[in-house]
Amino acid sequence: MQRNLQIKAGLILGLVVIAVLLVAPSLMWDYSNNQSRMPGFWREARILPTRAVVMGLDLQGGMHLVVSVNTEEAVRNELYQIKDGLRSIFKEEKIKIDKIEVLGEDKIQISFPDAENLKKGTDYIAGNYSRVLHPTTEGGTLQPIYILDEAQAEYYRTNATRQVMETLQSRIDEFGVAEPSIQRQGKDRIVLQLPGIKEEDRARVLNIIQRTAKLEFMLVETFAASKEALLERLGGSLPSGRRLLPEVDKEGKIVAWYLLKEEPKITGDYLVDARPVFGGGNLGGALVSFQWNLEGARRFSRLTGEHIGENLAIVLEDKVRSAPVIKDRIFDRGQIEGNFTPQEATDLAIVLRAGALPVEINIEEERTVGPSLGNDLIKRGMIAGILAGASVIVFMVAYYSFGGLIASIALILNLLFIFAVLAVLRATLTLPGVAGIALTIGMAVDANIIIFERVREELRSGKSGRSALEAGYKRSLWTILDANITTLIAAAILFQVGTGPIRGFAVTLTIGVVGTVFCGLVVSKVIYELWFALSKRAEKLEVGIKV
Amino acid sequence: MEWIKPGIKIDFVGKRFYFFLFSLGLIILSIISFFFPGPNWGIDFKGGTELRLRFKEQVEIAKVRSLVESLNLGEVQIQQFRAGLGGEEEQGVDFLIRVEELKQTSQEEEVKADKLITSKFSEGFGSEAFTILEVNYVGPKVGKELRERGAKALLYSLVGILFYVGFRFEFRYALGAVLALFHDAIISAGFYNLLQREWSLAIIAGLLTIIGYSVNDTIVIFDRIRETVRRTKRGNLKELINQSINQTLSRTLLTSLTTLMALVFLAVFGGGVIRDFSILMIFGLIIGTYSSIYIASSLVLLIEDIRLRRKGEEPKKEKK
Repeated sequence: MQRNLQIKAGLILGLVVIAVLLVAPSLMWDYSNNQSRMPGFWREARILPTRAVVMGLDLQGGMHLVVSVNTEEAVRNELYQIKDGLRSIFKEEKIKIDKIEVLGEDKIQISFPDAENLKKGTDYIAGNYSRVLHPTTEGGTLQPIYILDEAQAEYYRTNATRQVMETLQSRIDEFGVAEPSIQRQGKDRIVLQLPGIKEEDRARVLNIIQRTAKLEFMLVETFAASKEALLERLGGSLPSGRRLLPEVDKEGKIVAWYLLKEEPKITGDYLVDARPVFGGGNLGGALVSFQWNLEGARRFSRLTGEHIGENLAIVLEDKVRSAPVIKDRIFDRGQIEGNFTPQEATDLAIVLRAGALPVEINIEEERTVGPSLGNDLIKRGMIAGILAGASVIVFMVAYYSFGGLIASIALILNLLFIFAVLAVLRATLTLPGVAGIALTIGMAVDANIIIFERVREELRSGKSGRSALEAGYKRSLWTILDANITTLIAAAILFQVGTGPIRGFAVTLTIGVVGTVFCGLVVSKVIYELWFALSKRAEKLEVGIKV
Repeated sequence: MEWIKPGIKIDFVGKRFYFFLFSLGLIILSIISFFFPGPNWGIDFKGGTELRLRFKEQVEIAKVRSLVESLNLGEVQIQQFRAGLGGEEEQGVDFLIRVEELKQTSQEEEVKADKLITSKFSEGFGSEAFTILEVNYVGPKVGKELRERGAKALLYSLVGILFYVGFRFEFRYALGAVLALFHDAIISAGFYNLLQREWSLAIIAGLLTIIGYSVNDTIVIFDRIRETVRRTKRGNLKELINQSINQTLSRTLLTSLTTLMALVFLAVFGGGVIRDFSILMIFGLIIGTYSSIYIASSLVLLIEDIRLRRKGEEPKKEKK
């Protein structure tokens, strides 16, 4: 046997062994419990692969969510912060203003009483806020309008998305999902992949992800049974620095309206811990107890100490949960009552621990698949794949006899390589991916068909078996490469543009095409050469193709 | 075994104008199909809520429908399937319920459509009677984006193929190939519209795959044309093309056949989107094979004729 051939055959054999080692854990994987069933020595050997091919959410079951972040709200919030900041700085700097207000989405207008204050004010902004606010030509002489710097606004937007991502990450971690994936998509989208979410948990997960969990403690000025009654008492308009919020009961019905003071206010940002407590509390049901950090405890004890006897409203997500009377100074802990069910209390504690979302988010897309459906689909895909493979093999052997057999071996090795590459790349196998593999089975023999048809032509032109085979392979090389590279172009674009499951299809298609070329051109050739080298009847066999 | 005998000589190119006319007719019909009856956009593209539920025991579809319709969630589609693969433990019936609206807003609360439906069913059938197999929710913004991305994907891949074939062959071949691919994609889409099956993301993937495989066929033929042209030096391009198509005919048909086998099994056993995908692919494969044989090379010839006419030369006597 030629040395060259020995090396080639050795390399292919090596690849096959590696592929078998890579695929073995997937074959032995217990997908319903998501654990390996490999024998102990295998797992202890350390160098042997232990991970299975990753099943996409559509096959193993789970939730795929796309949420959009309301980034414009973040910009608006920052703009209001800048406005409030300017107001207090002008006060400190003794610059008089009549009014300062936010206009539209990105502008601030300041009204100065006279030219002197105007100059001081505009100079101050030009000196200290030049990177944030730019003067415009709009507005009157004494009422200049400033516009928010676009790069700065962009920073607020990306920052909001990043914060939301971090918060969602910790909420999911607190809830406990095995191997979640949270990724950013574009400027304001976040894609969450949560495998193995059970049907009964779906609603909880949606709730935990979506709620802002904004917690505020505010002093109560007054309250009434209805909004109208309260407004009437106030003379029809809301005084500045006050907020009007409803109190809701367990069913979400409004039971009262509160007039709350904006200052002093303490937010949930200072929480270090929150736990559900089952039983106890005045309202019955479960409650959530929380603990402040140092700064929170300092502020909270000052607030409660200075306002003993007043009502302190606990406001969750812009709704008053309860408004107990402050009986004594409270230091570092407190509790939120609301007649919660144990699950509600647990979930509320989770979101409070993980922190509030800086802005609202909206679910744009949800794809949830239960595990039983996935099992169905895997079974169906396997049946289709096995039948497709069997019929292609039967056809090839019938049509090309010995050559068909070699093509079939190449096909089976191709499938082995596809799964091995999927395992080693940790690529995800999705339902369309399974279809991609089944389709590859049909296409995989194409390279061999091209070669064999060519070999038949060469044989007819009078060449001997061996040289016809050589010519057939040689002349088909570029045809096969060109034909498959164009398919790769389509697959690459599919991967770029597609999402989730479709990407899975592009991945298996790509691996399949590369595998087809390799197995069709290289592996089948080496098998032939081995046959020639080992068999004495080789020349007689006419390479298995009858003319 | 050898089905296509060597020395076969079918005049594929000679009747090209009849086939052009035939294809043009199909393309026009396909374009019409986008308006009448129009594509059946699935929730991937138009947004909406889709629920797949498994009932443990047979329930009346009429009752399911009336319960869903009582919720006023816009257009309602309900399909019934046999549960699973019909094994012992998989008795019962699956329902696929699709509604247009995403949610209902009442007073303070927004309630999502899937929740409305499941709680209605819990009242109507009891909460133990069914399990949720699948929930798909696509907001209106996402639907529009997915549609745009799908169209872009098709366009980019055609351009990518145009460049690669132009680089590997000559521009006229590239143009011929891409026009033929466009032909395949639009006629497959038209056929799919006529079937009124649902457009999903998998269908876009299917169209791209059709393009990928049809170009595969076309290139094998082009490759042979190039080789024949180089080897013979003299000769009529039309005859060389005809000869090349005949020489590769066996391979073209055999590969289509093996691929078809795989697709038929996928169509029979694959459920849901995989079945839709396979049906589209089966048709696309046939159209792609047809266009590789009858259209792509003939287009190259047509482009060549036009080029020669422009130069004022007599066509068909082109010597390479």
